[in-house]
Amino acid sequence: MENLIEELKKQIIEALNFEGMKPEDIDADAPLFREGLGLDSIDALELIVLMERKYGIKLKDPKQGKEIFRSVRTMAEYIKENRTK
Amino acid sequence: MIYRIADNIICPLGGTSEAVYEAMLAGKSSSRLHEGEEGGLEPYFASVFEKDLQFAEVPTETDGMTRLETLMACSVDRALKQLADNGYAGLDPSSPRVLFIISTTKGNIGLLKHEDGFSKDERLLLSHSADVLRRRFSNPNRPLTVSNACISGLSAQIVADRQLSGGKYDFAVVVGADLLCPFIISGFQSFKALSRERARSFDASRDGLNLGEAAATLVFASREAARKVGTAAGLNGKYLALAAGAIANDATHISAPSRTGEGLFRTLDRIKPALEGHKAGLICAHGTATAYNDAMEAVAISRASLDGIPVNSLKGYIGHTLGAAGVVETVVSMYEMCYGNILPVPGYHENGVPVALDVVSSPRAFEGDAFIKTVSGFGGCNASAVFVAGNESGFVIGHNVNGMEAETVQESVQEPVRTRIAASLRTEASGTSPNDMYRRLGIDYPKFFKMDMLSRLGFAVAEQLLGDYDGDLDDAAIILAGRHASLDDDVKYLSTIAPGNYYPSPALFVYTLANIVAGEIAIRHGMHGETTFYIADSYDAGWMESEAERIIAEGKSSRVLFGWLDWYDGEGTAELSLMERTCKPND
Repeated sequence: MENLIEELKKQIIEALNFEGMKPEDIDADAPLFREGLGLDSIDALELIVLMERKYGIKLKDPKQGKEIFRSVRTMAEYIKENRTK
Repeated sequence: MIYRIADNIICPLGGTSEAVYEAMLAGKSSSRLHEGEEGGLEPYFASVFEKDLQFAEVPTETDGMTRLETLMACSVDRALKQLADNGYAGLDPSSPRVLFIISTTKGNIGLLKHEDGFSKDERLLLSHSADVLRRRFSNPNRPLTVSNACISGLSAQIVADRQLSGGKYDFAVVVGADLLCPFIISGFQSFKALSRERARSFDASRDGLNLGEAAATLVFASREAARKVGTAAGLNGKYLALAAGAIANDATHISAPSRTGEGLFRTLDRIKPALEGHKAGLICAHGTATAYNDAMEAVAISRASLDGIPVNSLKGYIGHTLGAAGVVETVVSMYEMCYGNILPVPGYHENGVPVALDVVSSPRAFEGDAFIKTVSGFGGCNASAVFVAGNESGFVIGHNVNGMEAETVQESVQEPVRTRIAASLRTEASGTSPNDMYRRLGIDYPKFFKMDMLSRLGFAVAEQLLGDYDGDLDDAAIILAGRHASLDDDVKYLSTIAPGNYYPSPALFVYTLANIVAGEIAIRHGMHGETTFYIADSYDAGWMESEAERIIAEGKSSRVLFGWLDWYDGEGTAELSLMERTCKPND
């Protein structure tokens, strides 16, 4: 799980263009939206693309993302359970 | 105030405005579910030109014109024919007194192919289509191309008002057009914005929009010219005028509508006085049937105390026709007003927006002599306009005020407004230099690196001009022009929908509109005035300066950020100026 979290942090930094940010700057348990990384609705959609591209998970309903994208850890847990690649 | 003298719509429902209106009145829709592609597009519900439709006049490529350009030319031809058939032969499109204004979001973007990369194909420049159209009608004037996301069609009409009011032209031919292609459809799908069913605007069960293809034309005349056109300008015995129009930015987010409907509210608040002496029978809303757009519109309409006016949306008939939408929907609303019917919103059963509106759910008589058209789009932009009906061509708005005609009164208070250029900056940029400019500014704006390069350049230069500016920018406008529009980002977005590697990126797609940079600057500096992006081959500084002056003279903004902004393939130029009013109009 910790490896997946590290991998995910790197992917988020790359996918969302966090210039100058390092994986250790992201708290795995901090909220991704508003506080924490301060992500917005476009970022949420981009995370949906990331899940599909890297892990073969297709989220049909963006509303599902609310729970899944609570933190890097919740995202990693969902990926672990549902990944197809 | 400008006057409608002719119109046309070509869409999968029909090839004339009348045919389209009558089809809608009969409850017909041209939208249907289209199959997706293996490993690519998901199924989508849209209104696209089909061979088997009765309307079989979809143009083919002729004379070196693309399908889009042929469609636009065909629409203009039919509008001019309508005028001639109605008895006016005096509009010569080759006259220097005629101006062409083109509204499109993506032009010929369907020609951008994976296998070629971007081959410097001039047809991908939006101004190319405008120039093709100008040449097709032997018009000597530089055409204006407005690319303002989904408000483009109404923006173009507001620009027409500005141009005709300037006195240089008698007629403005406003043409809006967009065609669908995988580029556009995939982008909206990446935003999870498309429904797989017929759009149900404002309904509780709405789940997204339908896209559509169309071209439409509105020919406007100045008051003097409209009087010459005379009865030929009539529509079922009535005469129509654009009485007031306004554009405003939410200044909150580049894709999410403002929860308070700030920009749309400001436009409605500004145009409301034009309703004085008239009865508004309809608000033809944008009503895309996405959750957030319709909710935002309801809030804005309510804030403007216009929620007693019947509301409809035409998206359930022909989908969202993008750059054509503002023109198509204005024309249909004109027919609704002049023929006395309000078209109901298909599939509307139960209020689904925070403030209940009088959404028209079954055919209803149009009662009144005015309507409001609203549109909103990516980049936080919003536009509204009031259209009024009168009994003679070139009629004067409103009633006699203290024995004087209202327009005469209006003209008498328009004293010269003094302006000055408060600051200017010109810079050439290349490679990653916009990033370096940003770093040198020493500000912390995490979203900067999420922007496309056009926006980064515009943001960084605007920051240098406005960062320490102590004037109030709340009502400030941003008008920009550029050559390549969003083509640099278009190419990058296209790479995310390559066959076999199909993962359309919403973060790239949102920047595939030229006007987004204006939205970014508006957000950063809290600017809620007009945001408009023109596409042009080269920078006409004098013209842009006069546009800025006109916006200030109209009292819409006290400051205007204007200039040239272009970026493509690692090279760019920015030349921005801030104009400010030095005294109030009535000082």
